[in-house]
Amino acid sequence: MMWVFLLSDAFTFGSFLTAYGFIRFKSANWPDPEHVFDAAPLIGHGYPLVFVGIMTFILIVSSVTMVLSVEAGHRFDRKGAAWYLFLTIIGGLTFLGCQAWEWTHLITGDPAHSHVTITQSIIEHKPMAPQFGQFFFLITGFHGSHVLSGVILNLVVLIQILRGDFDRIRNYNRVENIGLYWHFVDLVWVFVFTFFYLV
Amino acid sequence: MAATEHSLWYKVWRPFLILFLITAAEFIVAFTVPKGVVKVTLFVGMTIAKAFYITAYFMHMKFEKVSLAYIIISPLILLLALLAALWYEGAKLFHLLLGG
Repeated sequence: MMWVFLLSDAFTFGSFLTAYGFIRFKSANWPDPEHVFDAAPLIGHGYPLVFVGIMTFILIVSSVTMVLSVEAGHRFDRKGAAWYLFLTIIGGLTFLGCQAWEWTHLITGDPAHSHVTITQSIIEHKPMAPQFGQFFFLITGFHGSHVLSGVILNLVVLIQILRGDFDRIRNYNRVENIGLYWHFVDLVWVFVFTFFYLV
Repeated sequence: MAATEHSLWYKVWRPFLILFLITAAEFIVAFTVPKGVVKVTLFVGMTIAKAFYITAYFMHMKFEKVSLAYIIISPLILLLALLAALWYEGAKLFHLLLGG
């Protein structure tokens, strides 16, 4: 059932990304992603794609810890499954923190680098196509809310692992199911990363 | 579960290494290849490769029954056809309404 749900979710993200691609294709003054996404905490501006690279790496690593948690579940290793799921939650929260920083940065901007103020572009239609910000916040926001619900689901299952629920029924399938969901979120990020930050 | 027959290296670390290397390659392409069709094609190709490794290994579709892969992938192929049609129609409408 999880697979079918993920398929339907893939449709939603697919239609968002297609609409985005279409509008981008049609817009004249689409901003250059290397200029918009060139900031990172502590080191400032002029480092294109560094921060989003870190975010991508965090999400891939959290996928790996999730695989390890599922694998521990197969061996009925309660402590291992709980530990790796805990690491996955930490990864998810770190990703959300990074995204919060990025959003804040793009919304409030920086007087010295006015080209990064996306909200201004939405309100004043300059210096870039207003649709850029609209699609950026829609799609990364939709993805971020998936990460958030994934973190909450992981927390619930972590509590259930620690309570020994799955040892009692000798079945760790639920860990596997939330694992599928978590990998899907990673999968979506792979596409968002390509089409927003790279292309 | 058939998955237990394979080693952790094969199931987890090798795909992780490949995903990491593809992402690194994406950064190299981002800074070296000039903008254009070639760049976009490279990015799309690498994205699909990453998607394959995530679904096949992390979501272990590769170790499930083949029919599951058909059930999940065939609608996505149909979706691509739908998107192509919508894209074509949308372009015509844009042209009609905005003259662009």
